[in-house]
Amino acid sequence: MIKQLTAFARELLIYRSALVGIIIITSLILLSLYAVITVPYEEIVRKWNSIEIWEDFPRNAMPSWINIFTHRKLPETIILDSRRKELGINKTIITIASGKYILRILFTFNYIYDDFPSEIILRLYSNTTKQTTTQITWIKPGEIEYILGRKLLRGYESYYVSSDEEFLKKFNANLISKLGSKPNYDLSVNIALFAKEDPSILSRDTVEVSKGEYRVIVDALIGEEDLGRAQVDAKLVVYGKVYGVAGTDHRRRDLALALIWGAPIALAFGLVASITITFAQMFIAAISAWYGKSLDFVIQRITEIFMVLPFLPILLMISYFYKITIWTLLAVVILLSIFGSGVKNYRAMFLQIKEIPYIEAAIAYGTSSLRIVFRYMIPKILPTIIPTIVLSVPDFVFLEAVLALLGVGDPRAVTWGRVLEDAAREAALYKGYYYWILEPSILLLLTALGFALLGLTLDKILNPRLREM
Amino acid sequence: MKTILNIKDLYLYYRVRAGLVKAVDGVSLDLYNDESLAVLGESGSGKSSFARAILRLLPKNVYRFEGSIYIDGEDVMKLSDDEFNDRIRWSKISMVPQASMNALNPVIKIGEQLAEPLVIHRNMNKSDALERAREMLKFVGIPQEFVDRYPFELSGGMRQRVVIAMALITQPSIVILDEPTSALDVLTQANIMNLLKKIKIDRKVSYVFITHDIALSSEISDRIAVMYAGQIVEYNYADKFYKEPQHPYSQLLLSSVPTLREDKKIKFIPGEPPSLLSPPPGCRFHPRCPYAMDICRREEPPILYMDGHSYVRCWLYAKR
Amino acid sequence: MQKGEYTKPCNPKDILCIRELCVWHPIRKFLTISGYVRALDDVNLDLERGRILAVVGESGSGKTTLGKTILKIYNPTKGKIVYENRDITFLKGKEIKWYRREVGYVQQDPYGALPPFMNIRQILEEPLIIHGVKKSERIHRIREALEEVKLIPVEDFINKYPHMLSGGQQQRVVIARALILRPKLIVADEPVSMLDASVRIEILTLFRELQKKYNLSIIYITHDLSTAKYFSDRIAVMYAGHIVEMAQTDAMLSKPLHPYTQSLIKAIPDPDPRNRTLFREVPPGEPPSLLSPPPGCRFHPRCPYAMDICRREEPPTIEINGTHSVKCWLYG
Repeated sequence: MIKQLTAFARELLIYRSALVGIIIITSLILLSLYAVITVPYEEIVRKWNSIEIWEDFPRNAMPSWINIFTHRKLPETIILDSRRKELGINKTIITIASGKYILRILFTFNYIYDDFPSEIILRLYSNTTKQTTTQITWIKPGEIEYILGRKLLRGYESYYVSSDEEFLKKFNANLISKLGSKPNYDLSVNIALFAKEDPSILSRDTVEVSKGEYRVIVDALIGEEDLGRAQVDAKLVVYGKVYGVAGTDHRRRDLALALIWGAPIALAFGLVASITITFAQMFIAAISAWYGKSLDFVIQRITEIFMVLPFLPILLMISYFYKITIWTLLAVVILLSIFGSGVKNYRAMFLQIKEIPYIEAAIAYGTSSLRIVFRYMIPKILPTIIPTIVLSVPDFVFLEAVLALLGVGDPRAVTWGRVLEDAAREAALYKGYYYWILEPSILLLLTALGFALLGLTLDKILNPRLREM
Repeated sequence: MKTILNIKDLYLYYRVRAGLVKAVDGVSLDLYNDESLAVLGESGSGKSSFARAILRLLPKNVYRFEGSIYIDGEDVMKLSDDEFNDRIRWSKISMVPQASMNALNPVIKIGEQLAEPLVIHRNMNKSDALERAREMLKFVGIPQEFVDRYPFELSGGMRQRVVIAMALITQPSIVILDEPTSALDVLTQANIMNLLKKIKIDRKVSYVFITHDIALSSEISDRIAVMYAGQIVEYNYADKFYKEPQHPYSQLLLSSVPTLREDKKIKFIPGEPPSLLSPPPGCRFHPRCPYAMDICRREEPPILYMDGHSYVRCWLYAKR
Repeated sequence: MQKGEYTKPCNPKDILCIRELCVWHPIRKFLTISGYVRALDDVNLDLERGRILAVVGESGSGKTTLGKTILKIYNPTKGKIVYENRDITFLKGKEIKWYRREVGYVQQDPYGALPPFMNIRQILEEPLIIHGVKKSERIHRIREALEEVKLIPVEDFINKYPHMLSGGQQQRVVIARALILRPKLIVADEPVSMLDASVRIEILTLFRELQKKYNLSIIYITHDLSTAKYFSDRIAVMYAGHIVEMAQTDAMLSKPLHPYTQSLIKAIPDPDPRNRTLFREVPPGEPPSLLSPPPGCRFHPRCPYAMDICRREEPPTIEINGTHSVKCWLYG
């Protein structure tokens, strides 16, 4: 048996198309194994659907390798958290008067990118008993200093610097006095805090980033009683425009996670559906062809009814009435497909096989019907259906993606189809987030390509049609 | 009386995945225009390839195709494919191929199919050709109304008659028949052989009758060529052959066939016919020959003429 | 004698006794039956233990149907099949499983008769598995079977697949498979017609030896009267679903009684160069359709001696002497 398989494998690998197909499929399998080992399924669903985990990730960021191709370097995300000792954020206590102290947190970072950040958020944490007043100062290179505002802090406060309209008004007024005119476009806080303050700032086309060292100072006013035990911390996140291997989506989620985890789900869905349906159809066809007469009649009519049923509308209906997980979706797809056209095809093949002399010989020496079906008829048809199984895997992978795009299926699932659905809903193409659409699409296409190449080569080997003399 | 067919040193080798098939390996024979020839051989002897080679119906991947084929004095091997198609194929020499009753086009009426060779090879117009088709059907014993019928409406025997008619309608001098009755019942076979005999007398055609059935070959042939592994091992007159076969293979073949009318001791030939891909060295029959000598294992026996026209390829006869 | 009153009783010493056997295949059109193809009609047959009976006929004569009905691949519509004094006519399924051990089947096309995806060992093992032969005994039986048909050394063949064997070797495997359950009766349907001429006699000789060794009773179905002469003790000639003549081989061939048998013999050539100058007397026409056979004797449209009664009534089976019977009004 082993010798046969190795001989067969060798024959298969002669064809380069099969080799490419196998490489693609093996890569997908390895990817799936990696996904399943590193992050188990329940965790991935939880992670993908949570908000807090993605707090510090940029929204709609492109993949970071884009920077290799552009000469305008897009910013990465800078996270400075005073709670993390290893970053060595400077925290000092300054006495300003008796009984009054300032707890100063000093953030320092170098900004070397050619583009402005997408967002700036400052998060403040304190465990003081009373409300604390805090003041945030922003210092650009060249010692340009701005007081961003005062915040009352108790427990937790988040300061969306990018949406600070007050500051923007002050900044614009400042510009008018410094440069004599307003900028001819709607300046954002992100730009304001990072731009060179010379006439270039007045036009969107010429505005430039001021590169260099930036300092952000958070001063918290604390009283005597809080001294020593007061803990005030801050997290400054300057959100970039690129992240990771695959970028992020509108909920700040790292797309790489969904893309990697989409692989095992796609493979599982495709393989389970393909194998189950093909084998089920084969058994039904065998029984129908072998026993004939009324059983055959009934099975054929049932098959015809199923073939006529509108597949997609039924799935949509079910999904609107019931909550579906991806695995129940798989079960429904299988149930609806079992009595499909394959039954008719295989039945025709079995009817021919039934006439082969060795079947009669088997009857003559007393083989039971069941044994004939399984031991004599099905092995004859296996070489024909193996390519079918391989070739229909991408059909089901695409089916899942299409269903997700139509809104059918599990809203919490982590699949390539889901990613596409999010992208479509968020008008990704209109907004220019091409990577969001391309990445899952390319993976879907690669999957289809891999199985198609392998399947077509298998078909060529197992089912020769015209042999050369 | 003239020589209608003269084949000299014909070779046909072709490639398959497993190697080189030497289907026709140095075949020579001659035939007069009032004689018919039977080519006798088992499956794998090369007899069908030989028949098709005469008509230049070659397999894919031909490796070697050379020799001389003189039809009515002209070496047709020297003609281009087009010339051969125009003047020779189906004009001077035609063929009734194997399983031909199933080779009729099921969606074209009998009359039209029968008329086709005339339209193509003789440039006749359709109505004249159909008229001849009707005559031909009558000649082979099929009612003329059948001109408008489709093949499936005819029985196997009748379809075979139609195919024979198709081979004859252009009045060739030579007709090659490849196992023309193998799929037919005994009675139908006898009927067809009667027809062939009648045609032979009326139309003076020479047959090249390919078969594995020795008894059947005696029905129609004046000369016998026994083929084994791509070569003719004996070429003899019918009157002599069936009584006194010369080559050991011929002898064993005749004694291995049960006869209806005489009681005889049946012998069988041990072993299996060799493959055309790798025939044995020396004489190809030596592994199965009861008289095999040392030289048989080493060298291929040459063609040894017994008189002007008949020969045998066997070392037993080299002593002369 | 009237039709349907074949009163000769079954001889309890005979291994097989068939009386008035009819096999009609219904033609179904949309769940209704529009007619029957009468493949076998009123067949009577006795087979003595240890004898070879040749059933000779052309295609459509019913000989293959007869063979398959004896093997219980087809089911009889009417009549009686008695094997070793047990009536097996309408037994099916489990009730008939014991019988399947007793009858072996050798088929015509060796390549189609062997499943291409099983090797020789598996092919020969199947009947043993089905009839519950113990695993330890199986391999012994398989070797024995291969040695019997002279496929030796056995190791050379056991793991091969059918396509690796020649036609003759494949047919030996078919014979081995038929014999492996040690049956008493063999039905051989054209066992050598697809083999080369030089191999045919070899296989038939082997068959003869095995028959003698095990005292097998054989039904040898063929269209070739010459091999029937060589291989069988008795011959039954079939035409259009009937047995038209049955006799000892020598008697049949030296003195054929039925016109059809006579034309069959006249139509078969022997290797004789004089053949090319003579025309054979052959009855015109074709065998009749079994859907609506002609009334009376089914051979009458082609028979040179057809009389009035032949066109009206089906002839009975007439015993000439104990062993020669013919279904023809000429002898009525």
